[in-house]
Amino acid sequence: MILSAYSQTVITGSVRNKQKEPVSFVTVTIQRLGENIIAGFVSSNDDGRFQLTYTGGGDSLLVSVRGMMIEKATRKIPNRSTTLDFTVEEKANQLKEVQVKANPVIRRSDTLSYLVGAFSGQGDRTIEDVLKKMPGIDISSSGTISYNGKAINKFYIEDLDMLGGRYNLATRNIEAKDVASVQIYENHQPIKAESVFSDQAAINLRLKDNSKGIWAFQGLAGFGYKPFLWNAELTAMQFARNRQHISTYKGNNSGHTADEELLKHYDAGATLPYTGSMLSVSQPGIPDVDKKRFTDNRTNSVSVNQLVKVKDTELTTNINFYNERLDKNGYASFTQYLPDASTPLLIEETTSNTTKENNLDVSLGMQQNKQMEYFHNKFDIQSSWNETYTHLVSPDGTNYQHLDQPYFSIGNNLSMMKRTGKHLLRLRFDATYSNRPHLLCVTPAFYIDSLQTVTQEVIQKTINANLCTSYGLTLGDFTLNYTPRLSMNLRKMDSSLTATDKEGNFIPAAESMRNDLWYNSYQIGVDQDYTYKKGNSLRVRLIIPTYLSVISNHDRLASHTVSHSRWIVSPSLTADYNFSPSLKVVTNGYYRKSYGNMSDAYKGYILQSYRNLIRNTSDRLFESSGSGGSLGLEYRDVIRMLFLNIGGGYQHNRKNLLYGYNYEGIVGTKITLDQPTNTDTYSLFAGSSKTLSFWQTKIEASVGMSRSRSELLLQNVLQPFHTRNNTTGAVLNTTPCRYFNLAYQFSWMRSEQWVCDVTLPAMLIHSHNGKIWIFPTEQLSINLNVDYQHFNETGNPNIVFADALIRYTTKQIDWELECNNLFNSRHYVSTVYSGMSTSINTYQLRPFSVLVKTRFKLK
Amino acid sequence: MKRKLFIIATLFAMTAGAQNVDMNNQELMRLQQQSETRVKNQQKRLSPYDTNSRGKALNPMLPDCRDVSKFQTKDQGTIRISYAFNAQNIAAPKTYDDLQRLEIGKKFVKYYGYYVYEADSIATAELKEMNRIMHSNMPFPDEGLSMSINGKHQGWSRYLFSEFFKDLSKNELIEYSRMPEALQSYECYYTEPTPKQNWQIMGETKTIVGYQCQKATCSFRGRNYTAWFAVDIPLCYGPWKFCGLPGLILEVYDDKKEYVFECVGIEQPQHGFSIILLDNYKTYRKTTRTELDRTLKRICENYYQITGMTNVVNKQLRPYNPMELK
Repeated sequence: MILSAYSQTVITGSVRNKQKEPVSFVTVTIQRLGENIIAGFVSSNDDGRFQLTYTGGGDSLLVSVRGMMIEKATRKIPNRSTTLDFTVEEKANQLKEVQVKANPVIRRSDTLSYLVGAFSGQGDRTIEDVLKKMPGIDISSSGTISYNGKAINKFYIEDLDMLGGRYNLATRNIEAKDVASVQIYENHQPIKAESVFSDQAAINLRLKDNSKGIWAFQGLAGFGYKPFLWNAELTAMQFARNRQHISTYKGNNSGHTADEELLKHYDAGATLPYTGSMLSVSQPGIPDVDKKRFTDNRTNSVSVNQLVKVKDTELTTNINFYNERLDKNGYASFTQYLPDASTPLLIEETTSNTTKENNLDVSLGMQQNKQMEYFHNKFDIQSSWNETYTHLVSPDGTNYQHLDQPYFSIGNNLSMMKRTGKHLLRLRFDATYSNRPHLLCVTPAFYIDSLQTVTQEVIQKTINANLCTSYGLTLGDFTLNYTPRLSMNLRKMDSSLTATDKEGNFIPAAESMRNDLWYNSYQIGVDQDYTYKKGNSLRVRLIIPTYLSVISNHDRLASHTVSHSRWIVSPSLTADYNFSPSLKVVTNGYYRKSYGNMSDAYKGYILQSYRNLIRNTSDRLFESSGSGGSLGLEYRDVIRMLFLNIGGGYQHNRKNLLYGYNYEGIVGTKITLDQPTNTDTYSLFAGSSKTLSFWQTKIEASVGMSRSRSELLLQNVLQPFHTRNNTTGAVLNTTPCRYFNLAYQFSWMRSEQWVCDVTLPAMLIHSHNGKIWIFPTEQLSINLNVDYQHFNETGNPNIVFADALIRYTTKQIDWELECNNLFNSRHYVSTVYSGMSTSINTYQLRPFSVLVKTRFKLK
Repeated sequence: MKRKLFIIATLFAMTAGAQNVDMNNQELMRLQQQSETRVKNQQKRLSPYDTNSRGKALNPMLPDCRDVSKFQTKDQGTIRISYAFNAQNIAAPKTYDDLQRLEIGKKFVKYYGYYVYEADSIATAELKEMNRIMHSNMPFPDEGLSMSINGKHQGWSRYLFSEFFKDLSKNELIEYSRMPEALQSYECYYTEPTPKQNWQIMGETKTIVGYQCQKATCSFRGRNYTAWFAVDIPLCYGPWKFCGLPGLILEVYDDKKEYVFECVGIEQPQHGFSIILLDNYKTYRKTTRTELDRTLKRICENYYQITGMTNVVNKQLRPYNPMELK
């Protein structure tokens, strides 16, 4: 385009700021009005002056002044030589940042980096939403993250582990837009000084520079109907180089329980895991659908987490408290087929159940994780005050059940390691104490003649201590570790079953209704641990724990003591071989043995639930042994974003005692038979995950199969029992254009059982979940969600749920309108077959509800 | 006396042994493995010593890594532009010859190859770590720290290894020319007045990385170039020596498409970043552009004779084909 045929127009002028000072080195351009093509340009000189020559046609011209530090100014002038003086506003311009299409997943030796920007869409708010879309990464409904089929062993934010396993606090609160990349550390060994290998991966969040160091405060308030619903949240977060903090308050009665966020995925800590109670009340069976559809709750939870890094020392504080009330209503019918009776036993119960929980968990940690040294100490206190009330209605009568289950535990974990060249020395000491004084009270005990109330009290106190030192030696490709170990587990159980008769007279516990015993076990031995590592391709690890186990059971009522001692050797072997950076074979095999179990030691009756009595009838020491092996193939091709894993396993378990129930009326009594039994389990699975650049699509598919053979004991008759389960599932997530995102999930399960070569009806469940996001504008997001489930064996075999959500986003505030259960499905019916019993559960669901929420930034 | 000497000797042997023990520790093994992998990767690429490269035209060999921990901060940068250099597919960084960076400050503008800088940085960190563990003070260059760069380019190229600084106050351009393996003593720099391309603005437009761009052409030192610039980014810079358009150059290539620069990233970090000049350049000799062109032509055409690598399997070198033909 040569435009010299026209006459010359010369524009001279100057560019000045508001203070009349010259603005130099800004670009002055000229173009014909109505065309967006620049015809000429110059830079303003030191005095802010410029001269432009234009040789094109047109009546009017546009002269513009642009610069990074000024606001763009434009003048329309007639096409003739003139003088133009610009006064410009000073302003720093922000460019639209771009990061072009870099490969969304990058591999650097054992680290994979996923660029968050390449996977996130408009509907994704938290980093969890984006993690779900990344190939090879899976998140279960409880929030557990797995990489290529295996749960992760650490979750870091900027390489620091503040939350100690409660990573839902991070994944469900940190916004996706603050994270630059998600890194996977494959074969992650959290302790740097240790040289054994791990087949688990860890996740690290790399934050954007702009999100580091600053405090971010967020709030949420929501109200709805029906019933009256409320939802409130406050979070405060800071991630600086040497300091991290997350604090949250969450409260609601809209179906989100505290454990959704406070669940610990790893690192159980020093306190003994809360294993529930020996006692239980009647509760309806929990439906297999999204928890928010049926949970009738009132929850308040507070979590404060802080990490401070001073030089190499990381100090962590985690305080979690929640208060929760759960109401459950349902109906259950339980049919027990008895081998000798022609009419099966039928129990029908309608229950309404209220649980009140208060739980406090405080832990203080200190860690130094250096190349040559490791120090870790964790102190934990856990305390809970839980009680449950149940009102039960059955054709035989009505009763109230009350279970009080307080729990207290305190403990400390200490671990130290020092490496000097080839040698590694380690010391570990754990000690915990826990107390569980539980009480079950049933009134009226309509199924037992003459009794009004029965009360079962069980007090369990446990002291646990472990001491081990270990010595490790690295010789070329070999690493040897020897760990002498001493452990002690002291358990005291005190129980009594008392009653009052119809006249209100107290009936104290007879000898057969009481227990008072110390059940102590001691172990002394050495763990041998051998690792062989050949480059990055082959790794083999053999562990042989060998120890003497002494069990002493001191029955204080009968004042006699029984002791047993056994040698236990439980070797296990794991190996993996990398054929290439993307293909790996993993295999393992084990044999293990264990002896004794307190639940086999007591002789007095315990009322486990209102219609189950437990007592031990065998004098033999419980022994179990198991062996098994597995083989798996893992493939992860980063360039193609293809992840595959295929594997199979076999397990054989043997027990010397068999448990079963004898029924008298509706009261079942647990019996123990001196009969060795074997269980064989085979399983096969395959999973794949692939991301296509086409429509940003992630596809996942998996199949699984398992078979087992075992034996069941019922009314003193031994029955062969076989099961077969087949599952398959698929996930699709695609974004055809920026206005639309579709996620679809499908799962299918068929489960069959045989007792005594009689085929029980097969159970078939398939479920579909479809989620559509529509984004009419950058601010507006609309979400529709449909769940469909089909069962072959219930009264109403199909159940459909639908929900809708509209979100309007502005820079400071998000508005959300949530409509749940649009079809107002009220009951959930499920059937469970186990052995020779069938139970049908009906559970009352939440009705149709509407909730308006606003999420806002406070800073 | 003899006995005493023996004890001292044993003590010495033990101390030496302790050092060996240190050598064996995990971290060092990891570092060594990394180095080995790097060397292996390097060998996988064509090398004149490799029989697989027979009959293929090669570039001069990559130099060893250098220390990038010592530098001088010249300016505070505000905007950083990334360019793919000779990309086959801009979605796949492995198909670039290099990922290059244009860093813009108030007083200085720097243009350099990022893959080379990245390789140097990793080696610097590794050497530092190794020195820390072994309580030693090994300097660069080190045999174990041979270079392996990301991207598809084989061997050395002036357009990957030179760094360009524009001094805006003096209106000068400096090129620091890093040399291939074994020719460190030839490393030099020259200064020239910031070259100006005589751009012709054309009517065509297209969108690049979301910005509306306009076409411009020029003839510069023996080649004809086409550039696409974004008026909405009022910065008169571009990759390599290109500049002087009323907007940032987001794409530029010569008419034979032998040299192609495409923008793949624009960053404006909130707190800025440092524009650094490596201390390493203090050892560079001063020269002129024409003198450097002559030296490089000689090096590229007679690399094996000049370096004394007479035992190589492959003696075939790529023809010297610079951007600036005159």
